[in-house]
Amino acid sequence: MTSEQDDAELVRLAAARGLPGQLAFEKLVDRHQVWLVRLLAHLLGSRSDAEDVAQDAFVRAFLAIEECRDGARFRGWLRVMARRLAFNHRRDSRTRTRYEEGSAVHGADHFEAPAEQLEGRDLLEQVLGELSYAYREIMVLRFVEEMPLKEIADTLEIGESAAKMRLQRARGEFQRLYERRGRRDADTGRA
Amino acid sequence: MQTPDELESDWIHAVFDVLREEVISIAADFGDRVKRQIDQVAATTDLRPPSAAALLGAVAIETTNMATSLLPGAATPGADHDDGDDDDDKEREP
Repeated sequence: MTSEQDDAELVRLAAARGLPGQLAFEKLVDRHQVWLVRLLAHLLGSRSDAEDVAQDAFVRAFLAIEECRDGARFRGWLRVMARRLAFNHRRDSRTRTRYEEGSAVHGADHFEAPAEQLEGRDLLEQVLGELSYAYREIMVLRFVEEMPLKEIADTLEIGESAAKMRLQRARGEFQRLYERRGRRDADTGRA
Repeated sequence: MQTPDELESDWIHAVFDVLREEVISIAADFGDRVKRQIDQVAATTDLRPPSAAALLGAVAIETTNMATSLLPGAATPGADHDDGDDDDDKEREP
């Protein structure tokens, strides 16, 4: 039995409600919690925020499980829901500024001096933090989750051509910020 | 032959290795927290009958009530049929 079939069966049981439905959904929680928290941690840059949003996503998914028409694609359905919640979470906590749309402009100025000390993961996190959230989001989906363009478009609920354009721009902005630190060659070994 | 875009993707792809290979641990009680909240939501939104835990709790209360009613001096005629309704007890009080 494949994982997809298992999910489909569990979703069917969960949608039937009652105690068996709740227990079936709890198995879905066990199965999908790790990748979901990981994705959200990369989107939000914080594990505790990721857990909060993941918890919210699971509860909302439980309440709306009847709307998951294709149980075999539960993961994609949950990802869309979690992505919306992550977007809202980040929007609601804008005062924390790290992922604000305008942070790229201000951040670039602030990071001039310490940038040279940053390497590897820290540098990557810093650059991602400077990107607008929309760009960070699509970069994570493409280069961390390694999702194909079609799946990215589905997750972001936009057309494939719009996703392609956004990815292209995000990649350009990422490259510009990364090169600004002068670490590109050193970190990748590219001549 | 790779397009310039694909070459850039390869470069960026390599930069993201560190995040792809990173193991993110989640809180040990994360799953339990989620399940507890789901249990509460299910109970309050009437999506399922009372959970096993709630049923056991109800049985325990009922058993305690019955045991109390059987204690010497506490029993009243018909107490073994008492459904635990406090109002009934009050009606019997002088």
